[in-house]
Amino acid sequence: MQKTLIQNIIKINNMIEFKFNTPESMLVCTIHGRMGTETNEAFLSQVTAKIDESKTALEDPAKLKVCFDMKEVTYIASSFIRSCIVISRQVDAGHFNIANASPVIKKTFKIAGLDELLKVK
Amino acid sequence: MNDFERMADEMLEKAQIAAAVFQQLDQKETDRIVEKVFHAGFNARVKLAKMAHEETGMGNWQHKVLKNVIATQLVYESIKNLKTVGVISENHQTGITEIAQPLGPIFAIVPVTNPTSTVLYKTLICLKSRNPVIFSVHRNAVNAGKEAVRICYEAALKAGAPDDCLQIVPEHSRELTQAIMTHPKLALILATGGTGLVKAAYSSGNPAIGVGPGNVPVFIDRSADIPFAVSSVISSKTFDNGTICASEQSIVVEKRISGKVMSEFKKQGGHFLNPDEVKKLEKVAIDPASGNMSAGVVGKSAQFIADLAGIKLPEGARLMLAPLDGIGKDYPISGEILAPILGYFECDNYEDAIKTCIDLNYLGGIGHTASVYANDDKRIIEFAKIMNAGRIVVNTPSSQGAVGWTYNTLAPSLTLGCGTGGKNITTENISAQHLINIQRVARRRPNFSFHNFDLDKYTSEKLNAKDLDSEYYKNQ
Repeated sequence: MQKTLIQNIIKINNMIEFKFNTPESMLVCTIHGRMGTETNEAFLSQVTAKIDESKTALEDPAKLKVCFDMKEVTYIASSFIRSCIVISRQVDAGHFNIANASPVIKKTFKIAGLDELLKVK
Repeated sequence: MNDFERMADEMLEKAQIAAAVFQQLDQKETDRIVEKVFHAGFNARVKLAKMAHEETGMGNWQHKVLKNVIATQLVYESIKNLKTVGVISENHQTGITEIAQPLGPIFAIVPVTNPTSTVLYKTLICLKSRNPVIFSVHRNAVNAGKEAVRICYEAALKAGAPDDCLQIVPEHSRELTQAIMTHPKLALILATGGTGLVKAAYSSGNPAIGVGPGNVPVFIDRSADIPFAVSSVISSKTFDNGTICASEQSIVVEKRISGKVMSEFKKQGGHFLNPDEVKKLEKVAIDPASGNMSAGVVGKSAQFIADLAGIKLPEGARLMLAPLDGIGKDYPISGEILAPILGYFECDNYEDAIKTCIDLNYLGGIGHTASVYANDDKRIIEFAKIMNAGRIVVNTPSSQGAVGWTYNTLAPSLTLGCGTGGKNITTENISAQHLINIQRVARRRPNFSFHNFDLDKYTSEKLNAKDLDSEYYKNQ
């Protein structure tokens, strides 16, 4: 069990890069590959931790914006979609967006009825 | 928004996300899921059959095992090589490329008569077409249905299917069914059940494939092999105690062969009821309020029903036949009864027999199934042309024949399209190919006649269709 968890985290580390731009209060998470169910829990906890960390670095935590850059994402599972909703609620309304989604990923959010809520571009 | 609407909303929201995720999968990934679910369903065939039998008290578990085999092995065999994802056909001559897209969330209604087999079958065809399903299983078969859904869902998830690709309604209520049926996020209702339910599906405003009752007439022609025909009818009508909606409902014969047919039935386990016994049977087999079959006899054995009615059956009798003089509400046994009970009509001649079949066919079974035993192909086609039935099974047990694959090459299915007569869009046996939207990429292939024709001529009132036609096809 422990081994699997460690492996997931390593995998996640390979899948996400965080870039925090303080002047713009913008946390950009660049995500790579397949976002399947097996990695989702670790993904969500990592992003949540990074959001908390970023908020503490800001004078006004409410200003934090989060962007998922999904240029390199080839597949998203239901759990990842749910994580996007959870993350979007961790910041103020309108402060979460998804950028560079491929047409397939864009369509996935569209069919799920979440493209507007999550501001998918 | 009331509680039912909220519940429907939550289920449809999950199903919508599942549909979104599902459409990303390719053919190989989809086929892998279907294969694994087939294995899981097939391996649980006996357990599920026993559960269904125990819970519903209908039919017998051995026959329900066979139904589960049809719903898994035969359905899988028929769909495993079907293309349901992406480009499914390309024709360079016509310039048409066909692309399959999933429909979206499907609401699947499961009847008490075939609960686990219907879940298995609908699961396979929906997953093959990448559509998530919300099941509503009849309240009297809910545990068996839930278990079938659970087994399929676990296997599907392990094979990479999206979360919530299979759901089951947590409670039974007309309001919840209505809320799901009318939900704007629902793509299709796949309804197999009673008339009221099917009507509700069609009235929902969402697309529906609804299959309701049948009333299968069986015409035994003078050219038929009578012992063979009788054996076939009995094996079909006693299969799971007659719970398949394509099972035979009435036998129609000409007077000239009736004696032989009757004696063959008697020899093989049929008991002909006298008028007094018919009255007794009507009292237990027909619900006086609706005039339809009584739930208390559905899927019960002939002996059970005879005991209920106070009829003494001869030893070895497996089937009751009620000689009838007419069709309709004054002769309620002439309608659909999903139990080992048959109407029996002795007609003066061939024409009279066919007319009797028409009346039976139109008594609540339009578009469903008709059956004929004959060795005269002209008679077979004549009979088929006059019937309003999606499938006319020939020299075949109707229950098994209509559901396909075992006695013919019809697609194996537990939802039998009934055409417009049954308010359906198709007369086919429903399978995965009915659960995809097909997009057609139409490449430029100019119509030679149209492009070479002087279009201004259409504006002249002096030219009629004949004149224009000769110009249109000039030099061809």
